[in-house]
Amino acid sequence: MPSNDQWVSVNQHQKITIEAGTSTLVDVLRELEIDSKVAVAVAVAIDNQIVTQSAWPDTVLHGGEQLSIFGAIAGG
Amino acid sequence: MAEALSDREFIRYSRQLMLDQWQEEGQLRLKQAKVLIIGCGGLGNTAASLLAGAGVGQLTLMDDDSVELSNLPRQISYEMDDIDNAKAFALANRLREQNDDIEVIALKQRFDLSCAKHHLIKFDLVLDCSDNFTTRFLLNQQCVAAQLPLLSASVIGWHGQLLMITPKTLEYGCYQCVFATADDQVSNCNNSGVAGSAVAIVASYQANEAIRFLLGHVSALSQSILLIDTLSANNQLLQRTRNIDCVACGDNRSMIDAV
Repeated sequence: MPSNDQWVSVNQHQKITIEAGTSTLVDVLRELEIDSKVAVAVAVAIDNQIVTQSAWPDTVLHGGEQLSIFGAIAGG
Repeated sequence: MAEALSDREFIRYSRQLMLDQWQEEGQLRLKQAKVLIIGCGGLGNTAASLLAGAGVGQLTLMDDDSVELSNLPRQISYEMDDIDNAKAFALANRLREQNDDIEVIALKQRFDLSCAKHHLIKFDLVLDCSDNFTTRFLLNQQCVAAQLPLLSASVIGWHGQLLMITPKTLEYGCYQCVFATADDQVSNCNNSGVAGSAVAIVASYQANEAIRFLLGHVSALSQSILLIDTLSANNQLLQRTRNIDCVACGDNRSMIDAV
């Protein structure tokens, strides 16, 4: 196990191991098995700040971040 | 500010007029306000009733659906006698009984591009109370293009989402900056279920923000999205970011048909 392994929390109840400084939001979504087809209806926030989907591939995680991942809902 | 309050309005609104954030000036703002409500389901029922009660001067209701028995647990303005009647007309009748000092306009039609061109004008605020993604994305795009403030609420199961998009705060993006796109097959009240009490909570938040906006107060929801979790009572306010490539509000938005 590389020494720079860290974790991020997801929706306050799940911890995902990442490689600090290398793993991106896309890697985390892949780890959570949220595929790209479903992910278009998903939003992600890091420490309560939403990251637009186009920025996911370039958003590198450093460990300790609190991720909020949630899907769009349409009901009225 | 035109037109004073009548004696009866002073009595009717006396409790809210006492509020520092409201007062007579605020009530006159509400009286002048015109609000369009898209969708007369659970959210539309409760939100419209709260806005009518508060004295919003003109409410326009739009829905092409009719009342069904399975609507009654959460669409609380409807009664057994309303079944098979148009929701927009049934809700309008109830609101007129609730407050005859306001004007209520009912439109039995679905929100689409052609009706956007006719109706997305001269409103101070639009409430998205619809039940499908097609309407939500179209309404967002058209409100951005028409520079109309949009207060979008949605609910499923025990959860809700609420955000406001205004021309003055577009640097925080729009609905489509949060969700790039979504599929109506994913989830709706028909296939996922919904708690009537959760609907009322989300609609009450929506009405509260609408009233505060019309009174002239700054809303945190103009730059964020509120995730409402009625199971854990643990709500979350997330800051939004504009996607410069957004098809609705981004730098290339001229691709969208403007109203």
